[in-house]
Amino acid sequence: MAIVEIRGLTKAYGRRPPALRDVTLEIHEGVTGLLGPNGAGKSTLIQCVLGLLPDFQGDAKVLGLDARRDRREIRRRVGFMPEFDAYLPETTGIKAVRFLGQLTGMPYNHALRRAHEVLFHVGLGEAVYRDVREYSTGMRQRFKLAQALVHDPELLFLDEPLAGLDPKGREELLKLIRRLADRHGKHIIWSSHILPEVQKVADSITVLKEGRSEGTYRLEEFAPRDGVYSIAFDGESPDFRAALDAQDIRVLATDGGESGDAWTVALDPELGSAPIFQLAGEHGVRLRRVKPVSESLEDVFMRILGGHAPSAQSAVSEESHHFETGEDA
Amino acid sequence: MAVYARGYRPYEGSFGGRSPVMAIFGQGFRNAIRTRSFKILGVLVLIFYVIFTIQMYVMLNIEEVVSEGFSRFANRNEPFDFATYTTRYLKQALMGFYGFVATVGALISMLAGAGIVADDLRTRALPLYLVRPIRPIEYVLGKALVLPAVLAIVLLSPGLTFYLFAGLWQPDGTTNEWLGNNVDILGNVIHSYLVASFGFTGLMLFLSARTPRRGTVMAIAAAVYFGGAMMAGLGSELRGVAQQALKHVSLIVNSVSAHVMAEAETDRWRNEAQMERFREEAPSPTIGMVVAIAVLLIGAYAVYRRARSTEVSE
Repeated sequence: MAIVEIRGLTKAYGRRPPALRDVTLEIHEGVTGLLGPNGAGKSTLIQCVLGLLPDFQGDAKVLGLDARRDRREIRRRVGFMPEFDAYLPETTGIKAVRFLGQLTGMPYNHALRRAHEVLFHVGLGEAVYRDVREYSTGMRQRFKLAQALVHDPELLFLDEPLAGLDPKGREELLKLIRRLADRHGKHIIWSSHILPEVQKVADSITVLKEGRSEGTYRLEEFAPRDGVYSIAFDGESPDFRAALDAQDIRVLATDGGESGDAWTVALDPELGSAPIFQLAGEHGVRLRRVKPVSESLEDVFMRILGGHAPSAQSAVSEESHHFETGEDA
Repeated sequence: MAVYARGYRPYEGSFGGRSPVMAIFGQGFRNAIRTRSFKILGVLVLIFYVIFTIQMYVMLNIEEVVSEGFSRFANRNEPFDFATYTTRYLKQALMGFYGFVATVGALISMLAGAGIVADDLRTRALPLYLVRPIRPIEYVLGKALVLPAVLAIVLLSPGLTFYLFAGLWQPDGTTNEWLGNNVDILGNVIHSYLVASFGFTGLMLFLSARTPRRGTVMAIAAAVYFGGAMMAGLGSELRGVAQQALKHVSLIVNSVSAHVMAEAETDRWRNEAQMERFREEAPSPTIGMVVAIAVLLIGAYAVYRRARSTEVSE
């Protein structure tokens, strides 16, 4: 089901050239990256679908609701996390989130309880009674996510949600956002310039360029990079690494985690993945995943902006796909 | 700091809470009365109020003082009684009280109201409001109610209690009659409060919606309040159109004009010709109200424009 449907949307500010020109697109369930260079019209698009700029031409529907006629209902069912630093003056985290919940129509007591829940959920449980002005940049990002979640929206607009976070915080928030989509059925539209982050979490991407839609693409449809595999495994790795080197299988990247190691390796495309299995068996390494690596989102994005969209990405398929969760081997 | 220390739970409550106008108003009101400036100036008004109440008690309840007051307030050729004495005393007392407290009210509005919209602009809270199911007009109404509520504490409640005290301190059985006969005093108190709250609120809304800097808002507001009072004083000395225009430019003077006019009518030394001249020089309560409403509408429109044009993303 399309959660956002836009048909022929054009929006101009005064006599300036239109910020959006005849945009037609559909955004489907799951996590969608909204990508485009500065000035592409991402902000204007978000404002139009949130009902904040109703004077546009064309049609826009969000969650099946008309963006002009049902603005209030849309905003009740949608959460927005802005990119810029935003907080309420002279108030604590709990009061600010409670107040914003009240603005969504929640009764005081419900909003207060809910504010506690979402602040705990995003990792601000120990800072709920601190003035928001005292929050660090990372804490403010979490606060902004909490205020977007307070009314339990079906659809979340996240604008650069990982900005200002340290690597650990980024990883935590990425997992949290992915869980919101996977386990709690939230649809997420993620506007970002940091493409690797989008690639980690998104099911599909929608690209805007100079006010025009360049299409919506599923990440699963990205062309595989010949001979490049992502592998995850348990067991001793030094011998395995040496064996890979001996067979001229290059380890391009390594990433360790609680559940074992994960590497990106490259080998002769004509050999396929068979040597990896063989060497793993010989060295007692239990493989959990061997998966061809697709070209990076950055490659695809640059190609789209350059005017050469990938051929395999014409339309968005209806079936849901979860991008690499580490559970598929 | 662990993320999702508690799992996410869907919200199962209702969305039938109170109006967003009241939520915005409540938030703004709490922020305003928490300011140090409100507390300090509020205590000043309270001290002034207590002094006036004690003085009023003495003037209406101590027999020797009442006798002396009779000679001061009674015209030579008119029948005079305690009720009339109370009315004339109260009108003079209210003029004196509000002559000072209106200025304090302006200061409170300036200090507590400078951030009313400016703070939302500075912290970029406005987009967080406007992505909720509220209309810009609801944001405007919520903000516009804050200062009138704050000013009701310092400008409305003292006048109402003075009026009630004066009625209660009438001889037995005449309280209701006195209160009924002097509804115009109550009207003056309410008129004065409305002119002050409309004018002060409109000015602060307008300035606060123009800049995120509290200091700039306060500086311009101070210039308008005190510069306006000087212009009004100058206008009184002029004649013709210049006089009519300038004497109404002060929001503070306009706010006490009803009390000034009421007090002037109690002055036994002023004959009809002098009274006529006084009316020429003093600001008209009616025009003062019109000016205050106009300022309020301009301020509200400025906030509305700001709320309509706020970008949610940059």
